[in-house]
Amino acid sequence: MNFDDYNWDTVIKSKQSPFTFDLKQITEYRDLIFLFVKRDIATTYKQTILGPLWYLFQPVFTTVMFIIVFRHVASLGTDGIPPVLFYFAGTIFWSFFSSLLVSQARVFYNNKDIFGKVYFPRLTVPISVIFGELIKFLIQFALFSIIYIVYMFNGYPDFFSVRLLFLPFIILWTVLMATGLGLMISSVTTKYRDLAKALEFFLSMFMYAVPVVYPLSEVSGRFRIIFILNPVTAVLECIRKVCFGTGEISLYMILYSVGCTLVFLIAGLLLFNKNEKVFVDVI
Amino acid sequence: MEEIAIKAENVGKYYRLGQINTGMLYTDVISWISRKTGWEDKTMKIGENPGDRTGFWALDDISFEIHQGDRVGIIGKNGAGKSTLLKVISRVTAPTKGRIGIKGNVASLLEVGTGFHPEMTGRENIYLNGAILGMKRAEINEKIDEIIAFSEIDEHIDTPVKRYSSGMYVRLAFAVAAHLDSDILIADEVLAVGDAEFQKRALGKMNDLSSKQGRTVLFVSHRMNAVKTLCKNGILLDHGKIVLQDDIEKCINRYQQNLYDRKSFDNLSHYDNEFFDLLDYSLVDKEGHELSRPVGNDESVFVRIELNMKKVHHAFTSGYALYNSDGILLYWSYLTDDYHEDRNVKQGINILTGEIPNHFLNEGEYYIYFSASLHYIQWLVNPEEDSPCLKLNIQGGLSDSPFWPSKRPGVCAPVLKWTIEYNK
Repeated sequence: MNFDDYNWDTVIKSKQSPFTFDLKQITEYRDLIFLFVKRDIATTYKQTILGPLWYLFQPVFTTVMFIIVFRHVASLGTDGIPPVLFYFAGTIFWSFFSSLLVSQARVFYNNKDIFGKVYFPRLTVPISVIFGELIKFLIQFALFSIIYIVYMFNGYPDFFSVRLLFLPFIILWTVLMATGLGLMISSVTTKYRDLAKALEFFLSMFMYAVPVVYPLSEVSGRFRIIFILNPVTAVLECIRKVCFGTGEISLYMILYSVGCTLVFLIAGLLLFNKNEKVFVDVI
Repeated sequence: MEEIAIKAENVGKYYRLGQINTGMLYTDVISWISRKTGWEDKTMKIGENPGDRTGFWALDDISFEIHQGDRVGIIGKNGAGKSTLLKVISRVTAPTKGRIGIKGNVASLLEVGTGFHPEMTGRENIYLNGAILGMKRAEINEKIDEIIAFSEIDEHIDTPVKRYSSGMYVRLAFAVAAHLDSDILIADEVLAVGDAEFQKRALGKMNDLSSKQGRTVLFVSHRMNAVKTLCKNGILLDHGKIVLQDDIEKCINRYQQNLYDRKSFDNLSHYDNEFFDLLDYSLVDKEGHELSRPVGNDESVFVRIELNMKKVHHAFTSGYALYNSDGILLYWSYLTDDYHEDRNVKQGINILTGEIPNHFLNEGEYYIYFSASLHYIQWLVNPEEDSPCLKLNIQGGLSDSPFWPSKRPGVCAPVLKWTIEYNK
């Protein structure tokens, strides 16, 4: 009997098309995804004083710092939004985006010991990273919602509108952009590890090149075009539009940014798929 | 006809050395430029040839079939490609060429306790490790009591595993692995961990899994006894190629014979190089007579190496590597271990004699491979590759003690110093 006459469950070949994604297999491993998420969350704050309260501690203190530095020292505007809400929204969305990006970029490196010993669908790891970061974000978002509602009933009644229904889509958009970019970078960090470190440094600088601590309306002159070409700008301005009714956003900016997101995502997935089969020999 | 569980066709795995992957972009670029231009590559180490960088086939055109329910031991020397083969079949790394068809689901244990997180409890780790190995939560729920019982951790199961002793850790990890439900089980030296008691139990469990439950097993180990107990069939690998696929007994015999055959050299001039000619390599007794008989443990044996040095190098050293019949390396010994400045080799004929002390080796067969190198620079004759070999047979003379008439357990059988004091 020839090789092809058998009814194999698995065929291992040297070259597999990078377009093969076994989604069925990933759903079979959903318990593993759940356990990875649980592990990442449960172990981050073991043996700490504040425990999961750290999730709230970080944005609260960042907001306080931002109010002091950018509002009172640098006197940057907030488009008429209460500074607490403005900075809190900015910091939680930015840290969600950047920490998701960094985690995805380190996917291979952080899991090299497991990947080198056992086979399971590798995409389970980036998926579990998304859920882990999402949970962290939602906890912060809950605190944001409380402050938001308090303001809504105290002088900002027009915060409430149907625009809020778009929020889940903006969150999804953020997830896809960070994941796509992160996976693209992850396939390079297997070979050159300092790229992951460089990325963290670069992102902490990059925060100032994105309208996180100031609205886009504060940017004028020749730098403006750079901000608009940055796909992350549209995400942040959309959040302001949806939550506060301010923010400068045009349909073109949205289409451009969503387009970039799709390109990142597809490129990221293809690179990831190509890399997962051989990275064990490289790392 | 039995059904085929695994079929490999022309499988090859190529590893590139250095070339692309020195690990730094700078050296990668320099290395790439020098290859393109033919200039001297500054990133190469002294004594490294450009050819060394190209790589090697860890698996070289391997084809085989394994039937359902077969228990196959994969044996061979270090670097023969055993682990690479298991890695390719377990899909940890992709082959460079060829293909493998697999019928049924595979559980691979290239290590016990993969993915254990030190901060999590034993119970949590059972779930995590089980899921990594491919178990569903419902399955683990069903088996968790059995797993805990097998691991004998009981009351500590809800303690973080970082507080476990290494023995507990290994027991727990193996317990999870042993309860995997898979058609094909792949295991690499997993039994080489833990204490003797545990190893025995683990081997028993593996035997249970394979023989009673009719599972297909692929097993790699250096311990021939374990392989013999567990496996029925064997695959003997050497330099990435299959030498023999047959009964496990035959494979082990051939392997051990191979160990010996490669040493029964007839032409020492094969090993001549720019530094020396190897004129003689033999075992001699105290009087300097060549040995051709089994030796008692109470007798000293000497390895005699006669070299004609053509070129003297400050880093030159020579000696031998001693293996037992399981292929386990006992030790390396070099002329320069016991260093004296006036004891270096000189131009011309040099006779080196290394003593294998009495009351040291256990009964059995030993293989002594010749070794010569420029220390830390390059091999001249690598004992793990192509090197002449001597066979030493130790029989009897283990001790003068009436309590020690025959072979003892253990690799060595030393007679060591003891003292005793009497309290009045």
